[in-house]
Amino acid sequence: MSEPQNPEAGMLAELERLRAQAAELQRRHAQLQKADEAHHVAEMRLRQIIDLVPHMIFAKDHEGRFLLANRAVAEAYGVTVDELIGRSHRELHERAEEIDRMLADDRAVIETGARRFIPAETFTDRHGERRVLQTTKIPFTEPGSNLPAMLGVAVDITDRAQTREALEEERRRAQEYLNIAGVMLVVLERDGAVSLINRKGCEVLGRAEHEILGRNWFDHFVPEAIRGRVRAVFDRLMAGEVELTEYVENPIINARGEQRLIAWHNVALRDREGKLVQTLSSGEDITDRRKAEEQQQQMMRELDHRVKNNLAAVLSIAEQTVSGADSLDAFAEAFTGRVRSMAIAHEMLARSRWEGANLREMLHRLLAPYRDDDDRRFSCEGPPVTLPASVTQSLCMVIHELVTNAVKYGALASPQGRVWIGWEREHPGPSAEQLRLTWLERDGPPVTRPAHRGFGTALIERMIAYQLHGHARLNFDRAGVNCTMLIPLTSRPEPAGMESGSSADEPGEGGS
Amino acid sequence: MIGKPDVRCAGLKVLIVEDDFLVARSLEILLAGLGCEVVGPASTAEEACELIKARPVDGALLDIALSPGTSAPVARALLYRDRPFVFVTGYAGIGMLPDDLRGYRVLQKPVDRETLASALGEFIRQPGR
Repeated sequence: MSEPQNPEAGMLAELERLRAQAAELQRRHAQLQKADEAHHVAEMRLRQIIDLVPHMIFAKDHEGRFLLANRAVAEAYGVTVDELIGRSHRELHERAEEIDRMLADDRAVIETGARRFIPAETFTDRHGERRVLQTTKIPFTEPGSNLPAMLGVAVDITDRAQTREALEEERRRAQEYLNIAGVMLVVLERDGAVSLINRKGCEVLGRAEHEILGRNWFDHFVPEAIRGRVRAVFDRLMAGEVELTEYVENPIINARGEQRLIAWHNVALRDREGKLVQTLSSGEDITDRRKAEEQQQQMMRELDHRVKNNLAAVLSIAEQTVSGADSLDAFAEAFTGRVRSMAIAHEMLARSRWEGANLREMLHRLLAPYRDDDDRRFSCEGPPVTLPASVTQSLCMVIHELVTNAVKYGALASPQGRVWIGWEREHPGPSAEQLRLTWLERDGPPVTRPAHRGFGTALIERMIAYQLHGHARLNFDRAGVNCTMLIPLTSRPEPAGMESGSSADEPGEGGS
Repeated sequence: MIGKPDVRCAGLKVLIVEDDFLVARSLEILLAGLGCEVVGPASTAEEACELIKARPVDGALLDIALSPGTSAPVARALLYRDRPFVFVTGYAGIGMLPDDLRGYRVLQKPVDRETLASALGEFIRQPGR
């Protein structure tokens, strides 16, 4: 500082300087006051704006203290916005698991500097009401300190979430209903794309739902042979040219390439204007049922066939027994014996479901009434043989005729007489099998050739040749009557080019 | 039971195709009783076709279901020779026939004398025979 030359002048200068300084300060102060006011106004405006927003808007520092919040946030906690600022979020929020999660998300945003979107989070407000929020959090810089912080907006989607949940639930339940259904349910769009399929549908097609939805029904699941026709009908239906066929049976093709026959019931689904937009079809896999029905029908036909054939045979036996009988008693005896032999065959076959009958057992049953106490009259020798149905029926009658003839005129007419029955299997060709059966009478009264050949003899000699395409030869040897039979056990192949189902009486596989 | 020959069909040569021995024999007796001359009986289609070739017949009784096969080939052979025939079946055997052979007369087993006589008279004694 220099030596004052004029103290008064110096003071004046100093005063002037101070005044100027004061003016400057005043000006500055006014400026600052103005700026502060403007700032305040801006902040108030911002507050007003963000308070208007129904969503929660908030900013928090790295320690979880509110730097900013709107009315929606304050209301959720039952405080004013001013009370909220500066307070730790943790102090305000009751539910530990919710606040932990929210603060963890905040930290993640602050630490990574990356935005975070939380599609749905639960938030329990001060009334204990559980709300669902959809929250977006972005990094933010704390004013003044410039420290990293976060800014967030949370939209209350409770209603939306509830609606969606209800819809989802309804959809799930509807799908459950569809899945419980024991039939296929398929919805096709106008272009033939599958827009719905239930579990049974997936099962029948042998594919997962995602392999079916969106795919064209006709291209993927209809057998090629009928694809064009079925698609044409569908297109015409969509064009309004034809009415929907309510019931139709069509095959589908499954993942293994097998065709399954489906019985379809169809309904047209229309929009509000009445335009056909979709078809809903329920389909039942009737492949197995149809097969079973056919089998049953086949069985019924066979049964019918057998019953009628048996009646015709019984009638024929009656007619022919009558012509050979000289008294009613003789007729009754011969007739019942013959029908009984048919019944034995029938019973044995019925027991095996018409598969066949065991030869030894058949002989045992036929000969039982003629055995003596010592059981020395008959001896049966041969390997186990299962006779096919047709052979059983014919052979039963033939053996019956042989034994009744033996009792009346042959070896069994005397107490010492015996019958030996022997058989073996022969293989006249690579896949052919035949039965050679011999009936041999011994130790009976002298044999005389009968004067005329009755029905019984005709039956013995001709039935096997005629019906079984085998061979039988009856000899009246002096030593005793004998009969040799050759009976095919394998069925003869059907002549080529003959359209026909196989007859019920066709021999099955022989052997035992 | 056998009765007198029937004017409607006496003297006709009738082929019997029937695989059941007893039923064939019944038909044989029935036809003989009506005064017909029996050709066969044959138990297979093959055998029947051989008989048709070898001997003239006026008509035939054809059991539909044979074992094995059916009498369809016999029906065709008879149609070829312009000879009439009647199917005989123990059950709904028509289903076993090819389409072109359906629509011919079918008698149900067992066949009685009167039905047989009228069928033979009607179908086998046709004009020009």
